[in-house]
Amino acid sequence: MIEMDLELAHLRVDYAQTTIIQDLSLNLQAGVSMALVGPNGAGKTTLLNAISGHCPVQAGRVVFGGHDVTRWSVDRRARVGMGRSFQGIHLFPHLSTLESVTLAIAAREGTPTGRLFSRVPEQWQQEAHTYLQQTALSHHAGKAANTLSHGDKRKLELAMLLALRPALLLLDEPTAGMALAEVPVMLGLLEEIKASGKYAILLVEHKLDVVFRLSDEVVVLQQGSILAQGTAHDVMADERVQAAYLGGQHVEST
Amino acid sequence: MTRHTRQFGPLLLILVVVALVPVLFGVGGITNLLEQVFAFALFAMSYDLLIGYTGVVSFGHAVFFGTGAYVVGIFLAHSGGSSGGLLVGTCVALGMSILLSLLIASISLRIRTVYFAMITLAVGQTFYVLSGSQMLQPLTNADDGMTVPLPVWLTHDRPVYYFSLAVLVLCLVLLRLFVRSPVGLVLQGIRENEGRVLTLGHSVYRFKSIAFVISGLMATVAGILYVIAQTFVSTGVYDVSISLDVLLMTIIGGIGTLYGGLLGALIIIVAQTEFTNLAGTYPIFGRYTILFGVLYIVIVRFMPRGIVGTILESIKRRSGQEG
Repeated sequence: MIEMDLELAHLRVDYAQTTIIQDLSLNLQAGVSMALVGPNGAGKTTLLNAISGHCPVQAGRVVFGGHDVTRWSVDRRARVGMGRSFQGIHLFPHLSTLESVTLAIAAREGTPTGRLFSRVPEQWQQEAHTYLQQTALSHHAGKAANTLSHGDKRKLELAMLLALRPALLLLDEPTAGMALAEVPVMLGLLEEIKASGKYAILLVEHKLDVVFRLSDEVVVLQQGSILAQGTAHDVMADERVQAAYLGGQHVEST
Repeated sequence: MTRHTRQFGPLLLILVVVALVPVLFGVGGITNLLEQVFAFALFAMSYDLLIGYTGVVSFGHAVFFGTGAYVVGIFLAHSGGSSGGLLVGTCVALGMSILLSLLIASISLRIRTVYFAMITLAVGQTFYVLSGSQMLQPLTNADDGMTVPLPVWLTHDRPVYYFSLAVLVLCLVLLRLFVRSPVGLVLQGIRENEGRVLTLGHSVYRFKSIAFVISGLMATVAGILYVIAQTFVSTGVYDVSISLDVLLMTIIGGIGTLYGGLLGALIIIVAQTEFTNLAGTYPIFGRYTILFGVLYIVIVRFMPRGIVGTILESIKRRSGQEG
């Protein structure tokens, strides 16, 4: 069986004639959760984009599950098990939460284009309900995505991701913009996902308490290169990290 | 009242009333007018599949409508109005429609939406010029157009009326099943957020191509209904104004509603006919396209979801409040 590991080898990403990621190599094994931290402009989101295919790579390779996916399209990468969420809300405004999750299941199952006049399988809808239940959204099943609160929209993003049953989760600030009261619920969900051990997780996050709770490993980026890598405690104790990322302030985990 | 009764009750009632028109009012003027409405209603619904369900704008959808009308017209004219001519012509028209839509899709659906609209316009105009060219005169009778003889069983008003109505209902059922299928759900996802659909792993190009093929097929059938109703075909069926008329019908009825096309076609065709009649007495009505322009602005400004869309929305809101 092929392990769904992610391997980045000597990656370089340019944008508008500026190098955003340079000579970056990284390995993420199945079942491991890794957080990407770093100051604004360090290249965290660009790195996620390069992995998911949302921006072209100028040099190096992205290998996922044994496939060299460097030149693959976004949808092809998703079909081999990459699930991606974005920093901003990226949903289907007028589709219901149930339809949105069903759409993800359809992507996973490979929508049968030969059966153009058949109904959406009942089984898909039942399964969609279980993901809504898992993300505490079942009471919103019939509601359009644009009528949900920000926190619920974030949960819907997560429900859609889970419905894809991906091997790799690329999460870009999954708690961004959420009300303080909603964050613990989201964190609880993400912890459950991490504890299941089914996914490799690459997480971009600014909130250090989230990083400490959700990651096995932390990678600190600075100007597109890896400054430090290790467990959250080790990395945060690193003086270079303290200087570069936190302006020299000592950090304690919360 | 069950959900199904609520949903289909009004439609069935409308269908019964429409089916009784020849019995109640006789055949002739009104049935001829409704046959045109049936053809354009199907054309508008096919267009709604693109603009309303997939979010793709085409300015040259008349290319399919015109191909349906011309190919069947040519086969009927050259077979002396035989049933075989109608059947073979229909099969050839549908085959051409599939090839044409796949060709247009392959050169333009991967690029940005605005270029797709431009390419459809260019292809539509090419066919417009071709249909009127002297080179094809033996086949199409060029700019003069051609009278199309119909098979014996379609030579009276009543059979034409019921045949057109039956085809419309069949296509409506197929379109409804299609938009509610998994493919239809993906298309609605593309309309809402194409990038997200791609990130989920759907091949957007493949699904847009499917929508374009199905929409093209339905527009082709609409063209066939049109030529059967008119027994005449000319270059006008490829005219860009037909593409714009159908855009207007879809918007007035309500994009993304499917049924909106039925109402939009009824309003525009009846208005066009009445204004043309009035223009005989009051020449000002000859400029009715200006009124359509005003209607278009009023609908977009005050009823962006169109008539059917606004009605459905208010029903939804009311049932939400009751619930």
